[in-house]
Amino acid sequence: MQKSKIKKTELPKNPTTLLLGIPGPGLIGTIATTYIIQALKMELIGEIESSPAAIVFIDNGQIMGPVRIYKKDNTFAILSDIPIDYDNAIDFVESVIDFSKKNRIDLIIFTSGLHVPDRNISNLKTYGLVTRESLEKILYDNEIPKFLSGIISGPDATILTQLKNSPIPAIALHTECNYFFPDPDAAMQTIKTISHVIKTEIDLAEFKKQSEYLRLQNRQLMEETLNVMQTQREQPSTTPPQIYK
Amino acid sequence: MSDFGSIIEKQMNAFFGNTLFDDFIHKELVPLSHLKEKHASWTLEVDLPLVDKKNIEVILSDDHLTVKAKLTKTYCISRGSTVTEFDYFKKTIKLPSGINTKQISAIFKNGILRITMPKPTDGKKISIE
Repeated sequence: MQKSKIKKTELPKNPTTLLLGIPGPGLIGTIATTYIIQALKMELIGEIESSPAAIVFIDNGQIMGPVRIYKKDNTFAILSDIPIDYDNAIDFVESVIDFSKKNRIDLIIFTSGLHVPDRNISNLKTYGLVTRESLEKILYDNEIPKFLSGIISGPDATILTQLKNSPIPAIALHTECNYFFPDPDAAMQTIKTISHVIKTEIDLAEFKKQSEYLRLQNRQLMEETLNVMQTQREQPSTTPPQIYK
Repeated sequence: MSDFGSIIEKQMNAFFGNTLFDDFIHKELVPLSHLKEKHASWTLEVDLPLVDKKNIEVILSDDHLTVKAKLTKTYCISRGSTVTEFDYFKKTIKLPSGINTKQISAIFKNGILRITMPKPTDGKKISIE
């Protein structure tokens, strides 16, 4: 009989936390992390570089890479403004884990979306997955239901696999969302959940005002993200064939 | 469009992707949409933020469906020193074949237009040997 792979690690009382947001279903990770960075006035402290850079952003006359690192107090955030495709997902997570080791991160919080076509917008749920048994208390204390069964595919699957095998404890938060369109309602639910987990109040007034514009502004990124996720879906399935009994 | 225009459009499409470039060429925002096949129908969803139901037009032609919607506020996109203003969403979609066009219905909820296009239920009966 195999032993459980979930390791027991106690977190410090005020853990140094890294929020990880990348484009995925409903752009939940990107929208939520971007807002948290703005709301908490986190400082840009660096970038995760890929060589050669395929794209750069110009903001206020400054050249900025697409994957950036922010910090405020004991909270870090890594935000990607480009979809992470399958070919780059492993390198990307390895960079995140390497950064986490160097900066003594106690907890990684990865945020994403879960496609639920008939979800109740006024009562969206965020589900939690943990890589350490001790983290289940965080789910319980913050009333986050555990993601019990289902399938996660695309870059999220690669990221979760790498996080599961890394020495840094991690929580994945998946919120019910519209898979195909930017979903600020689901992103707002994610922000509320993160706010509880990191015990930091995040004012959502500005987010509510921007909600419709977020859907407009993120059309291009959503389309590119879907293209990346679609490409991976079209690859041959790795699901083993069922055996008839 | 002139040959030069189509060459430029191809180059720009390769660089920016279709959506953004269509926006700037036609000064109409191209909404995100998703077409899904179900057992008895096709469902087309169109994301229309900043739009009121009364300002949406859905026009059905032979084998195309066009959705046009006026924004409640002018939306501006700036690139470099150029600012482009947009007042409309517009998208034309080729319909899947074999749709019962008389029974197409639409609903607008939470900023998403959902158009249901039933598949025909009548046809030639095939005998089973």
